[in-house]
Amino acid sequence: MKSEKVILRNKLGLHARPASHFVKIAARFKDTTVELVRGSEIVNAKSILGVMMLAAGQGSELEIRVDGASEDQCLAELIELVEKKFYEE
Amino acid sequence: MTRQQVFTGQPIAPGIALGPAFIIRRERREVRPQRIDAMRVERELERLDRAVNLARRDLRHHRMKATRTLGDIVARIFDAHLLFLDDEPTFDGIRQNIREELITAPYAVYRTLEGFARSFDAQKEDVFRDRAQDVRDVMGRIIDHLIGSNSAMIAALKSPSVLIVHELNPSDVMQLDPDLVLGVVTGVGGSTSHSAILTASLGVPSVIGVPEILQLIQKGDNVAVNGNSGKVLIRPTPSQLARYDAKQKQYRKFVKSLRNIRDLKAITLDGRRVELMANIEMPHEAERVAQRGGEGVGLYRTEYLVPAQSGLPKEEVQTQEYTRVVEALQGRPLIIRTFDLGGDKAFPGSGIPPQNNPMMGWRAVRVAFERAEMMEPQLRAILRASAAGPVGIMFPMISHLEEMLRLREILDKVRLDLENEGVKIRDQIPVGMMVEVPAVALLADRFAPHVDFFSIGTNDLTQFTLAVDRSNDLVSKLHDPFHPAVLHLIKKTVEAGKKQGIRTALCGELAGAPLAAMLLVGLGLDELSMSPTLIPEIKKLILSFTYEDAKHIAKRALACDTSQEVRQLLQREMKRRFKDMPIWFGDR
Repeated sequence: MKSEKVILRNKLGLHARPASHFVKIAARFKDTTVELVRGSEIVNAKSILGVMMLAAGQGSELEIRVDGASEDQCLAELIELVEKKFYEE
Repeated sequence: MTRQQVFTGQPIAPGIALGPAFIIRRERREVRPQRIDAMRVERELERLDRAVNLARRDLRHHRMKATRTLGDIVARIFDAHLLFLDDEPTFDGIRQNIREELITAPYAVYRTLEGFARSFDAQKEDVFRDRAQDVRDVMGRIIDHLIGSNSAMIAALKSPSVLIVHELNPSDVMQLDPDLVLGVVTGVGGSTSHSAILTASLGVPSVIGVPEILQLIQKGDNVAVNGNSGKVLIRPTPSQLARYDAKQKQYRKFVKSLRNIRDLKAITLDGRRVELMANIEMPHEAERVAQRGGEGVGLYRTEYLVPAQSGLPKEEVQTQEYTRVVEALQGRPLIIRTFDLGGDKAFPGSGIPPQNNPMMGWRAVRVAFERAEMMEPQLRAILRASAAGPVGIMFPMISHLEEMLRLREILDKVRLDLENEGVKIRDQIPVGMMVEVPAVALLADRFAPHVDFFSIGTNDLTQFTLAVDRSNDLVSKLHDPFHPAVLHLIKKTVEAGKKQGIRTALCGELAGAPLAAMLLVGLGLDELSMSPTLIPEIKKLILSFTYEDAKHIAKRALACDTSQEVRQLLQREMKRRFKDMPIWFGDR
C-alpha cells in the first residue's frame, strides 16, 4: 500500500467534472484499490458519488491511498492530474 | 424568474386550458422497504440492470437533444447524470444489498441514492449541495423504470389544475380524476409514443415535448395551454391571459356545436359514409366512445395488460377485461389487437430482452408465434369475450403471408378447442390484420383474400417506408405520414381491399389529424379510427365536404413530389374551406 497527500488548487475542487476525471483514471486500474481520505472520511475513489461526497473544495487537503499491483503507476497518474489542476484552465 | 415565458411543444389534444400548475417532480420520493424471496434475487438484479439501462438511454437521448436545442451548458447537466449511472462501485453495493438483505430493487436504489442525496443536502458549498437534486433525479429515473408510476404525487391533486409532468404512465392515467385535470404539459416528446397516446386519451388540451418547463415552472404559477398550436405560456401577462380567455370562449362555443352532431353518422354532403371509430388503450375509455360520437372501437390496444412486474396475464383475467370493454360499448363493435409487445416500449413482464432495433425486432406476433403462453390465452380470452357482443381480432406486424395463414390456423384450432369445451362463442368474428409494413401494402391484393379487413397503422408504415426511427429525436422530423410514398401505399391497400370486397380502416395518428380528413376520405378509406377526443372535429369536417372534392384533393396529393407539397396543398384547401371553424390545420 502507498499513499500521498495532495492539496486541491483548481478553482472548484472535486466537483462533477474534475471528480469524473479522477474516477476515470482510478477505475482503469482494475487490480488496484484506490481510496480518497479527507479528515475522518474515506471513500472509494472509483465511485464518483463517493468522491463528490467528500465535498472537497479549493484548498482541501486529501490523501490518496492505493493498494495493488499497479499502485505506483496509478498514484503517479492521479497526482499528476491534481497537480495539473484537472486540466481545468 | 417571475417573467412570463412561452414554450412550444407538440399539440396532441385540442382546446385551450388556463389554470394553476400542478407540478409532478421526481425528487423526494419515498420507497418503502419491501422484502423478496431468495428465489427472486436474480430476477430482481436483472430488473435493476434493465432499469439502469433504460435510464441511461433516456439520458443520452435528452443530452443529444439538449446539445442541439439548448446548448452545451444544459447538455452537461445530463452528462453529470450519466456519470452517476456509471458509478460501478455504488451499483455493485446496491446489488450486494439486494442479494444479502433480500430487499427489492426500488428500495435498494432508494436507500443508497437517497443516502447520497442527504449527505449532499448537508454540504455548505452550493456546487456540492446542488448535487442532491441531480442524484434524486437519477434515482427517480431508475425507480420510474422499476415501478413506472408517479402515483403518490398524483394523489395530491385536489383542485382543477394544469398538470406539468415529465411523462405520464398508464397507472397515472388510471388514477387521475379527469375533472381535476384542465390540461397537460409533458416534458418528454414524440407524438407517437406510448406516453403521448396516454396523455391525449385524457381528452383535455395537451402539449408534449417541453423538457425545459419542469426546470422553469414554480409552484403557484399560472399556465395557459393551447392544445391546437402547441404553445404553452407560464406566468402569462394580463393581456395574454385575456387573449387566451377569448380563444377559450370561442373554442368552447365550437365544442358545444360539436355536441349537437354527436349522434349523427359521418356522411359527406354527397352521401359517402365513413365510419368513425375510437382507439382505446384502457377499458375505462370505452365509456367515452359513445360520449364522443364514436361508432365503436377500431383499435383496442392490449399491451397495458402486461405490467412491468408480474408477467403475462392469465386467460381468466383477459376474458374479464375484454368482456368489460365489450359490455361498456353496448353493442358497438370492438376490434381487439393482439399484444404488440417488444416494439417501442420495454415490457419487462413479457420476457422480451432489450434489442438494438426493437421496432424491427422480435415484437408482436413474431414473439407470440414462439410463445404459446402469450398467443393462446389471449386468443381464447378474445373468443370467450365475443359471447358478450360484437368482437373482431386484429393481428399486428404481419410481414409475410405465411404468418397470416398460420394465425388463421391457430385461431381455428383455438375456436375448436373452446367449442369442444362447450364455451359459447359468437359465430361471426372478423379477423383482420394491420398494414404497417410496406411489403404488405405493396402486395395487399395477395393478403386480402385471407382477411376480413385491413387496418393501416400509419405510424409504423411511415417509419418503415421512410426508414426513420420515430423515437429517435435526431431523425424524427423526417417521420412524415404525408410523404407521397406513404399515401401511395395507403391507396394501394384501399384498392386491394375494394377489389376483394373487404373494408380498409386507418388507425394511425393520421386518422385524427384535421389536416388529413379530406385526403383520407378521398383515398377511399371505409373507416377512420382515432383517439376518442378527436372524433367530433373529424366528424364535423366530414359532414361539411363532398366525396367528389375529397377524391379530387387526394388525386392532387398523390401527384405531389414531396411531403411539403402535400402539406401546403392540404393546408391551403382546408383553411380555405373551413375558415369559420376554430380547427387547427397545422401538423400534429
